[in-house]
Amino acid sequence: MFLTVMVMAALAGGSAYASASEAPAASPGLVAFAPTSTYKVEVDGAEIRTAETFLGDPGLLLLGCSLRFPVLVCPSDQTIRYIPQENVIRDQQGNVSMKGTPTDPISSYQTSGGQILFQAEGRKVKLSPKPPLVGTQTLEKIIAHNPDYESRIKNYAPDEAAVTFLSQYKRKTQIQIYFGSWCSVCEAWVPRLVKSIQSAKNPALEMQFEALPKNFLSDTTAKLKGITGVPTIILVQDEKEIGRLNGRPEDGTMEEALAKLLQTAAP
Amino acid sequence: MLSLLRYLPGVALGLIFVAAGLLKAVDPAEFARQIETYGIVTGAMAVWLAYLLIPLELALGTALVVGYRPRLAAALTGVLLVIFMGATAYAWSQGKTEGCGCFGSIASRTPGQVLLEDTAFLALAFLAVLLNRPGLTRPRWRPATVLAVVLDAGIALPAGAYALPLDSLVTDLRVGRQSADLPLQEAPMDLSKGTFLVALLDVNAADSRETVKRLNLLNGEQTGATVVAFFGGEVDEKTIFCFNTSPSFEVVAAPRADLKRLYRKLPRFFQLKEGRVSRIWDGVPPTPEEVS
Repeated sequence: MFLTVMVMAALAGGSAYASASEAPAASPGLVAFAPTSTYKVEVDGAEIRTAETFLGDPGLLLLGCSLRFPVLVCPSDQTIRYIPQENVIRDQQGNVSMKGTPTDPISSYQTSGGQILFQAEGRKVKLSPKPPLVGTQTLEKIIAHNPDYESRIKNYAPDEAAVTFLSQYKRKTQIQIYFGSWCSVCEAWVPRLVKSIQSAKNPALEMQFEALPKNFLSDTTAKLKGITGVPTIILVQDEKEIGRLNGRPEDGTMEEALAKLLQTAAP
Repeated sequence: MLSLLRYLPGVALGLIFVAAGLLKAVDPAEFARQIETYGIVTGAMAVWLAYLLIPLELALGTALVVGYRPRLAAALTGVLLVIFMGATAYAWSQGKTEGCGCFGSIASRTPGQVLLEDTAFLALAFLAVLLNRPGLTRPRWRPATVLAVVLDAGIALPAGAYALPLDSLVTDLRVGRQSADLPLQEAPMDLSKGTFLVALLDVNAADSRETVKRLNLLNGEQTGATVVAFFGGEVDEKTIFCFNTSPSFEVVAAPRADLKRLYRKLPRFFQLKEGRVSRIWDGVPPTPEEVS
């Protein structure tokens, strides 16, 4: 059972521990699937915007992708199977369940360059991760894009002394977080910063998120702000930059670096 | 004394080329990958080019150090540097730079820095041509023999590099090292407490599913170790990898340049006990008995 839950979480598009709690409970005799927005579906080179994707124990379920039947992508044997339309049941919360068993394999899939490729009904189907976030974001949007952010925020224990300093800091400060949703350093360090600021519970500290594209060096916002790498944390008071953190701290934690910067730049 | 000084630019450049050639020779696959990132040649062509350039660099470097036809060697080194600079400038113009843009990659240099460095080397090559006028005293020993030996070694070393036990010499991963000194800062857990089996993976490897299957068996109660896998790349590469291989453990993306310090060839595995590297395995994951 433990392994099943872990596999479910892994299927959710991130690390195994990321989102085990997201799997919906299934009624007896039914196999549950939870909606996921992680994947983009293309058929014969055209993105199918109406396609819906769901993750469950047997794999990834594709609905509304202009194929004859719902399609199940099974990672256990790398096959593609159909599910008869009448065997797919949708509840009021948007969760989907499957009754019975899928058909025998209609084809197999290949993975290449971070994509899943297969043929069905003579058409080429491609599943790939959604493109990176770009522009102003909310924390909710970031978590919806990458659930690992939520688990990393939840599991991080920030430095208490730094959090105490941050909780008592008086000056109104905008903490502008320039990051890439594609960037591994950001995935590790931005959640730690978020957790620290959340733990400080200080209304004077306001976080703002700006997602930059992969080729951000030519991005207008990045150029304007003089950003040469991500994450870059810019601290603004009274519409003036008082300092910035470039990437992960050389020593110690992100919250210690933030506290130190606030302490020295605008005590 | 003055005549010895005339050799100095050539010898300095030669030592740099020998050192660079040796570093490439012990990890030729990485050099081939670096060539590919320039976007000029790919696949088998990049591999062939890597295996050709390594002995060439070593031979030119040695010729400059031992003073064998120093003017010709310096001129050829200069030509090679101009070719390198052209390739770097092309890659730069196409936006094909090594770094991911994430802060944190320690080994990456910007294309501008590479060009600046190559310009300095080119100046050394120019000086070596200029100062090594014909008629200068030559060393009494047999430079041609030394050169021939180095050339042979330049061909043989890359061919057998991965069979040689050089990992502890050329990577930062050694038994006894502390986790805090390893480039694993992106780990979402504290690696300094408890027992971990750290896997360094290539998410595009053909045998990923088999490797993950074995690691799943090692994760948790049976071995007392928590498995955590790292790969060099961007976050979105994790999605399809996790879907396709179903890991029961944490998979962490990290800057490739950082992780590269820990391996020559993937996959690689090591055990961390209370924050210290206790064992290292190459190629295939350890057995449960080895971990517990």
